[in-house]
Amino acid sequence: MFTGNMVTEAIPARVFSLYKIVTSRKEITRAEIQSMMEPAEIYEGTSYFSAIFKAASELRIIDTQDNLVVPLVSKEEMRDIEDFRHFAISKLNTFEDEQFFQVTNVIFNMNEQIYKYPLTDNALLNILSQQTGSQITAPMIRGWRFWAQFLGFGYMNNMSFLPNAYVFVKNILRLMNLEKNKEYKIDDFMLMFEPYGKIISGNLQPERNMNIALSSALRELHDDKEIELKYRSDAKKRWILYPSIEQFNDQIASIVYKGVKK
Amino acid sequence: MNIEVARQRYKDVFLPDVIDNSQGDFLAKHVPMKNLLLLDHAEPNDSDKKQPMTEEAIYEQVFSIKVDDQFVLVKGASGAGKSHLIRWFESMLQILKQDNEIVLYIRRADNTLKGTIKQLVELDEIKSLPNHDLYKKLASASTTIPELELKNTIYYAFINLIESDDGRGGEDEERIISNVDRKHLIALLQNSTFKDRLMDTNGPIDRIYNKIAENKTFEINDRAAEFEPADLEIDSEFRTALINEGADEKARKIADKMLDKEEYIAKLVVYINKFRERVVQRCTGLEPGDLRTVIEEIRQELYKANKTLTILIEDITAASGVDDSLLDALLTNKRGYGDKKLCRINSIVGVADGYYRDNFRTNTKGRIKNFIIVPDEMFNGDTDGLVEFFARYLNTVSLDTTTIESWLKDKASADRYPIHEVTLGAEWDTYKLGENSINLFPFTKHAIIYLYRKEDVTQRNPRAIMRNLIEPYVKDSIESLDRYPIRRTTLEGIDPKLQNRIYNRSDLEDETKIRLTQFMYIWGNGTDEIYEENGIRYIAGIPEPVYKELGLPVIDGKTVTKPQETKKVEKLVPDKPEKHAESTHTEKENEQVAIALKEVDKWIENKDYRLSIGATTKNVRALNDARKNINDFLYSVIDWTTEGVSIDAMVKIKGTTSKFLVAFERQTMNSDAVVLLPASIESRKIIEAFVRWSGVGNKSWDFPNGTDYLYRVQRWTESIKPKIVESILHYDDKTAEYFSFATAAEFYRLIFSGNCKNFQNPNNFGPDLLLKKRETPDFNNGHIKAWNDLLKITSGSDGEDARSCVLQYYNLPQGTSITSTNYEFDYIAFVKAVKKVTNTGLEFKDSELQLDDPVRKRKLYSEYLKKILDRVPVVVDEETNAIRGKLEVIEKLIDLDDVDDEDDIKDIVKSIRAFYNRANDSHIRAAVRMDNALLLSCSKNAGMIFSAIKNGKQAMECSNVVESLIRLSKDPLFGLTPFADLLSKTSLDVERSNQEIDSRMKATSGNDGDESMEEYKAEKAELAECRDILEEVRK
Repeated sequence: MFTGNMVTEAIPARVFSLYKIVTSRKEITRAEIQSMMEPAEIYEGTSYFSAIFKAASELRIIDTQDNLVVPLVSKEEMRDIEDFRHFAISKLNTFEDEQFFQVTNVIFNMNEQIYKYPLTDNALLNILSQQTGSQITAPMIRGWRFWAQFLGFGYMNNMSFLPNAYVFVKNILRLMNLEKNKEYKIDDFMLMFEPYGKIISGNLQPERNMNIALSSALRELHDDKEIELKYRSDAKKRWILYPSIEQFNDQIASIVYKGVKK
Repeated sequence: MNIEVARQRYKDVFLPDVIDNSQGDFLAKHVPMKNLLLLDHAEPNDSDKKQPMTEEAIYEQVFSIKVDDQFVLVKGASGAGKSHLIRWFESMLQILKQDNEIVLYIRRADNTLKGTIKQLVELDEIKSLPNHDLYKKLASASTTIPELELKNTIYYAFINLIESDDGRGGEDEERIISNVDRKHLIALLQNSTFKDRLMDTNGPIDRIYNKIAENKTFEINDRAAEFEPADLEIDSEFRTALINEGADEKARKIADKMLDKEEYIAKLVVYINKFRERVVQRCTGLEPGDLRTVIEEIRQELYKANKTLTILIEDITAASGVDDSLLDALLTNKRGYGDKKLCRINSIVGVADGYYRDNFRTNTKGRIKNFIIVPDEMFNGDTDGLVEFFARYLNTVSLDTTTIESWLKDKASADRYPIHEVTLGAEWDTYKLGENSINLFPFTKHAIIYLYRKEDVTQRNPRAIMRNLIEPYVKDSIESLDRYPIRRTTLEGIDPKLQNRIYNRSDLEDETKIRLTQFMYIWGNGTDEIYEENGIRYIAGIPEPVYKELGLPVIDGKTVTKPQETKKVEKLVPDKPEKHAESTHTEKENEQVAIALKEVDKWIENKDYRLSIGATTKNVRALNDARKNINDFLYSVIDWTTEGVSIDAMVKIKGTTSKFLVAFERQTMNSDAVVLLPASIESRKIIEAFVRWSGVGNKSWDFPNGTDYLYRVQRWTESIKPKIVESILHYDDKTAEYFSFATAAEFYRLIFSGNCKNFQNPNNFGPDLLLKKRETPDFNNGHIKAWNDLLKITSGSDGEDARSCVLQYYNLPQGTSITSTNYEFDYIAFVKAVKKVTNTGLEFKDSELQLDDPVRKRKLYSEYLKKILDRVPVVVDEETNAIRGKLEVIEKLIDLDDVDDEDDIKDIVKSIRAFYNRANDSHIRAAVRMDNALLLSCSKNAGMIFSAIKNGKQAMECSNVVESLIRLSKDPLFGLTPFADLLSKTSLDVERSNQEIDSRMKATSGNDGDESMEEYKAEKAELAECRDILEEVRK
């Protein structure tokens, strides 16, 4: 999923379910996990287990050691699926050269162009293939949609992706270890953001124009008073939000971190 | 406005009947009428309408010096201003008439006949009539009779007249109803229930009474005093009541005939109304010719004094009951009666359109040659006149009576028309009247014209404008400026730019946003244009201090130069401004969006308006679609598994037709919704976004400002998501437990089908039991019928549904399918949930079963489990009894304590076989009854029989129903039944064999006794041995 080709079967809930099984036993083999997730007597069809197992391994939440499957993240660290999301987000930058990362970045930077296509539309698949340099197929993008929704890149209305990375950015703010009520100059802020959020902010630096996903996320955080976007006429560097008629639309000179609500 | 004066005066000024105003108020408020028609026929045609006349021009023609009699009917819709015009004629006559002209002015007064006659009686001209008897008669007609007495008199007068009629209504016309019907009608009228109905408030007798004697309402009453079809409508309920009370048969017959027969009722109404005039005359003591005589006598007296007469009657319905004779008298031309020496008469009579059409006799209509038509819309096209009408009313409200009286003394000259001193709203718009300016507070010219155009065409007459616009707005403004304007008017065909700007302000309350929008669009010009004049800023054409006065915020806008002050007001608003504006606007705005938003605006602006979302009409289909699209959107964008909601649980709600995640407050269709969108601006934005998504973006956000609309929706979704997620799994503060019920039911199925017999109790059941392949139930067992019936139920479709729920609830599908068998389990959660069920011991009280779950698809599991739980104790009881029965049979014949293992069973079977073999050898009949198959089976299944005895005993010992059930599932009856059958059969055969031997022995005694004795000796010994074995076993 995160390395090599994207797949449909390894949806986030399944990966997390696998992890929970691993942490529930002192020792467990891969076959035992599979027998729990895919009860042999009632299971019909081709097994998805390998794909799920692979995704969990890619995210480095489990590993196989001496024929046993072991957790790489402690149970206490990843109590629920939201912790899992937070963890997964923290690992995304490690997949920078991979298909998932590149497709995501292209889609983010399409801005409102993405409204025109359902994800499986051939025209869109062609655009994605061209821009990422690898063949993107419908099953791959179907797999992408589950993770895009889960990681908080935006909303998934059937096969339409509606960018707004509020949930994703909120998690990154937690990773950034920001100081409450401190005002960060926007360039400093973006510099701190990039090690975790490059998947959304990559390619934006030269123009300092934010895409819809990031702009809506910042606006929502601003409207929810989790951060405060600030315009300063004397600031040398400013970032430009995706234009809006109704919402906060000043150029951002700095951001005051107020504290994210969980 | 002069607020101090207005507070005292506004109630006096806004009286519905012009005649109730003082002369001064009347003249101060008077706006010249400019759209009158003077015709020789009743209905104006298009070319007539092209030649409107002013009231002055009409006055000159109608009141010029004449030799001949004249009758002029002033005709117009109710409230159009007929009385006003007639009163103005009267005022003018008082100033301009010749000395020999006598003016009789009959006001509408309280609009009763009594009131009218009283006015006549009080006229000097009548008091001085030589005919004193007539005067007395009139005076007595105006005296007061108690209400009930007069009403009864009216009622019985109708009956009397109908009784002495022949079905023609007293006229020389064709018969209206048959004599039989007439008699039946009398019977019905004499029925007390029917009488009560007709005499009731607002019934026909009440209406007639109101016209004759006293008007009990304060409203203008120009409704005819007569019977209407609705008065005689009879429904089946009323007919049943008549039958039940044993009404006269004739009454019942006509009631049957009237039942739902509009035509027949219409005929009866026409017939009864024929007597109306005579009834009134009888009840007032007047005779048909009396009024005519009065008028004639006046005319004769005046003729003698060389005078002429002008009669002004404000409203002919005030003479209800005698109106025909009064009209006849007024239409009597002196030329036809030269001998009577009548003076010239000029009659001006007011009548409402409807009354003229329905109540004037054809021959009366034919005699009228002059009509003044007062148009429905007095101000049609005359915006200046309209504003002047407002200005004069507002001015009069703010003028004290002394000022008005002194102006009146000064002949009410236009030059000296008093203007009030403004103490409130000095900055507001003004109307220029000659050299003066009248303050228009609490209106502006723009507001007057806008509000006037919003009124229904039938409500654009002076009385309606005064009642519906001037009075309420003045009252509102006097009461509180902080909430003014408080009334909501739907804005149509507007440019929504300014509205959007106001609605998007996050610092204002909804109420303020709506009030500001209404004010800027209706009072102002609906733009955000700002200009400055004399140091005052004008926003939307309204001075800044006005906003401050109302406590409204000031919107920043585009600075422009002051628009040219022209006589634009008139031209600005064409005859049909809404339509014009709408048509140009729809070119810009998507039609569907505009229509839907208009409806939504009505909904949020009016607290009692129900949002119309039916799927049938064009305007609301968009809203119905929006609701559907909002719900679909939420189901789709919420990541249910991440939110901890099983797809199965979500689909169960989504699949419930009447259940919605979101519905609208005060919507016309009822629906059970989690979130009710309140009638607010926020909701408007959400609805608008979805209407645009569908109508403009063609189901995508690819339309102008799509991202902004999407952002609103996303933010709103986040805000309601917790509530929605919570609602999927909860109802009435309870967590829906249907997975537990389905699981418990599935465990019961497994017990009945014998899959749990290795367990002691349900607490030991493991989750993996549920994940086994489903086996076909085996009905070849020893269980009783009740057991197998339940096995059948649990193996049927209900059982299949429960199993599917158990397997799908914790499955993690890729989409929203809940039928996939490519299972990927959330195993840990599944185990936890199953454990919770087994911990209950599979026992649930009715109160725990959530049989009140409103979601049917979930409740099915509760009901299914209840069906099982209700039957389990019965099954256990019956099956235990059956086991007890079998064991008793066995224990009667053998001692179970001596049975230690299956070999003991085999020994018993062996002995039994030996018995039959011996019987065979001895030719005892029992031999033929040997059931070899049964013997073989019992011998072969000795082990099972041994276990069955043990299990059967254990099942009976168990006090817990579910544990008993689990033990019974080992099916002890399967082993006990054949063994018990074998033993009881053998016991019977032994007995019969004994009898057989005994009888044979008797038969042979005496004949070679010794021999025979010897012959059976061996058999008897064998039998004895067998009995011994059985006895031994029993021990």
